[in-house]
Amino acid sequence: MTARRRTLSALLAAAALLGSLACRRTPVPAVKEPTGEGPQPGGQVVVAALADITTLNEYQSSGDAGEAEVIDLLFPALMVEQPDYQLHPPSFAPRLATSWEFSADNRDLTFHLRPDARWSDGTPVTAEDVRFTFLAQKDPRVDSVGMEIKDFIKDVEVVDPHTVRFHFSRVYPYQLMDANDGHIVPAHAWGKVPFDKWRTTDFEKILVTGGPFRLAAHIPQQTIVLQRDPTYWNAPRPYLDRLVFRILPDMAGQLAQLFAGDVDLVPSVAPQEADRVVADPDLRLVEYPSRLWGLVGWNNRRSMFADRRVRRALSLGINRKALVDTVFRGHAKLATGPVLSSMWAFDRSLPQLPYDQAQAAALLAQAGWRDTNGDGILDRRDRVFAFDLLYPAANTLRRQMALLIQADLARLGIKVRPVQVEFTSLISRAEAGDFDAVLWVWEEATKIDLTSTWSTPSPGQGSNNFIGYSNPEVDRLIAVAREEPDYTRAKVLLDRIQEAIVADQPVTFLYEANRLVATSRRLEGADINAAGVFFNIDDWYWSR
Amino acid sequence: MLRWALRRIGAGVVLVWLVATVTFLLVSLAPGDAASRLTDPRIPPAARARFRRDFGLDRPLPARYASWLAGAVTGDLGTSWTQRRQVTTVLAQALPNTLILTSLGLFLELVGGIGLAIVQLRRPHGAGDRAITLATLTAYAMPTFGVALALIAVFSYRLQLLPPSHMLSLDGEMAHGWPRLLDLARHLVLPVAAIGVTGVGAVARYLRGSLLDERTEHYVLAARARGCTPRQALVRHALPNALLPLITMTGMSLPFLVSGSLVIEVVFSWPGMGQLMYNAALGRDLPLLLGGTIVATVAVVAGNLLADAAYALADPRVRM
Repeated sequence: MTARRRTLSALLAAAALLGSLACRRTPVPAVKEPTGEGPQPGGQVVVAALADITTLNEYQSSGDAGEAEVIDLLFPALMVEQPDYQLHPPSFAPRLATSWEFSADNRDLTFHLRPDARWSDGTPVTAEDVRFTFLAQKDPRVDSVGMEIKDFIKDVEVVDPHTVRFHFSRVYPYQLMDANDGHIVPAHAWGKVPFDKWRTTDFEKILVTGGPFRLAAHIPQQTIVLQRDPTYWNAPRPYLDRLVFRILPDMAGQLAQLFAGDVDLVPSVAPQEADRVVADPDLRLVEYPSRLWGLVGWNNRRSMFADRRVRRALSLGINRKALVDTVFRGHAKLATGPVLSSMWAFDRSLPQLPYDQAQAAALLAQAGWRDTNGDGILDRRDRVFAFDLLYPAANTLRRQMALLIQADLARLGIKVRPVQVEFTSLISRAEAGDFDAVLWVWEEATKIDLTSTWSTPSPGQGSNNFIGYSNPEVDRLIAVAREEPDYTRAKVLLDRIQEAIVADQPVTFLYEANRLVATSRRLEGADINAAGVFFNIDDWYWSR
Repeated sequence: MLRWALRRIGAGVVLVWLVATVTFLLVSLAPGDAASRLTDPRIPPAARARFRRDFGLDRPLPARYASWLAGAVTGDLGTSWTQRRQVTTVLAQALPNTLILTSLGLFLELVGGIGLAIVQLRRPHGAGDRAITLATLTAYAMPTFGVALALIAVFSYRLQLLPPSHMLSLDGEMAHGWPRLLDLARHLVLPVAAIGVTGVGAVARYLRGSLLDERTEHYVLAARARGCTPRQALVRHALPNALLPLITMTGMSLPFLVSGSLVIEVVFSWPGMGQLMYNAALGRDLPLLLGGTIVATVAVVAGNLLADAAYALADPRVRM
């Protein structure tokens, strides 16, 4: 990680140098004498957003990332998850809760709430709100997307107006994270809506918020204006008066407005545009490892990919390093296994598969794939080694990858046909197992639970294991690891799981993408990191 | 007249029902559904199954169709699956935004096209005519997004005269009365121009062709014989007749008026029907898609009805 940080700072230093050399334009003139001391309150930051929000009630939301960010600015959470998951499971900092402690048996978790927190209508935020939120989270009529996260919390008890106690049905590693999941919503305002009406209620009409900002205006598909909440407990923070989200569905348009100065922050810059941002002296590019990673999913149920020697050969036969470097231009890292290399649980002793076509050809021959008729394509028992590689339509990065993979595997005598499929159809084909191979992307949570993606799907239970991977030993280890409350002991198990999955190569691990965020260089105090673009929004301010 | 109108409206209702039913079937049979979007390791996989149950996606197709139809005939188009708001509310927000943009674009197309054709016919096959023909052909052949991006590059970024996106600036959104209207007008210029520039070519070329035909008709020659100047003969006598096919053309454009242009709306971040329907289609938001389809079909029916009525008024030879 430190090495990565160093490259990052070197990159930024280079960018700054480049910027100062290229600087012809004078940056915004100083309005008043530079006082130099501390943050200046006031001003607004205009953020480009790809899509509008659909709801401000988290428990109606389908979990869209942009929407979650706006909700996080408007509603209180008990704690703030810290971006320190490289070292250990994430720790938490106080937010609505000033402190917390576990009971001796670890089954009860007590939070002490700050007494000065207020909803935007002046009502105090109390333990009743925390309990009400929990009831909404658990209620099947509300049916929030993350309902299962609260499975092991039996009840939330109001001890006094500023003390609340969570009762767990079991002890496990992510108790703090699960208790913290979801923002607190106002019981006095939203409690008036019966839970069975929640799915169809427009909560913006009865909006009461409790974060650093309030909603000042929402013009559908155009603008969301957040205004500093003067009653926020962390006063005089936030320093900014306003945070404005401008909906710009076109990424090229977002950048154009950034360069023109109409937008101050673009939360996600495409890797091929990074150089242009770096070259602009008025802009700053922040880069950090995201939790987005890409893979080629082989349909393990199909006879062509059922043999792990074949899957290994495919991984060896693709020049993954060249692919990642070409497509992402240095803004992604080669992936190794099922746990991201930026996470504490990553097994650093895992071997990285090389690009080795000779070894790949040998493995294919061992599995019975030979070119018996001399047509340049491998065959086995009258079947040729040819398959469709699906990727989402209109995704240029993945189209490039599909073409590179096609070229690499052609050299091994494997015929790949890249096929683009409309996104929703692609998901449904993946879910139904109706594919040979698919270029896929997953975004991982900071909670490490390999169950949904790597365990054998059990009938009736939902699963994200589209590729049909099944290894009983991996199933067993995953089940044990997720119960292990001590993370150092869990790490030992997770290492074994990673070794087994990498040996099986149910997928070809391709890349771990970096997140690129572009901001105005005059924006100070912003600590943009893997915990979120607006992680420390309270401390943002404009220089001079 | 009344019977004619009633019969046409009756046929229109049947058409709307048919189109909505076909849309219902096509979207329901298309691979994937609204729950597919909940594919993210951070979302428990069970959420997909729950979503399907909540919105009745696990029920058989005829049952789903019956309950949708039962709602639709009473004017209840249901709740959007992606936006969790009433479909009618969502449509009512987007429709006016699209209408203002497309009606101005269409107006520019017609006025510009008619004007250009008249100028061209001053001296047919002359240098001016040829230059305009070349220009309108080029404009007609240009992709709308190319024109839109070029306009933005020149007028927003190079000359910094006009805003590149949105209906209102941040200040405009907070303003009222004239300043707000002026701000809206500034934001309309480029997208309307982008629609107009590409459309004007079609109108001009169409009208030039039919004007050339009309010019040699006996009634035009008769007008000239009565002492009309060539210009008077063209504008007063030939033009009204040459315009007749344009009525049909304009009637056919009505669906565009309400369904909008996806390209223009995406490039200019315009919050209209085009973007709305595109996102609804990607998200398999069936209630919203059906609502939008109904609005568009009603526009088709109304457009044809109005065009026929206008035709009958404009051309005494046509009887209903």
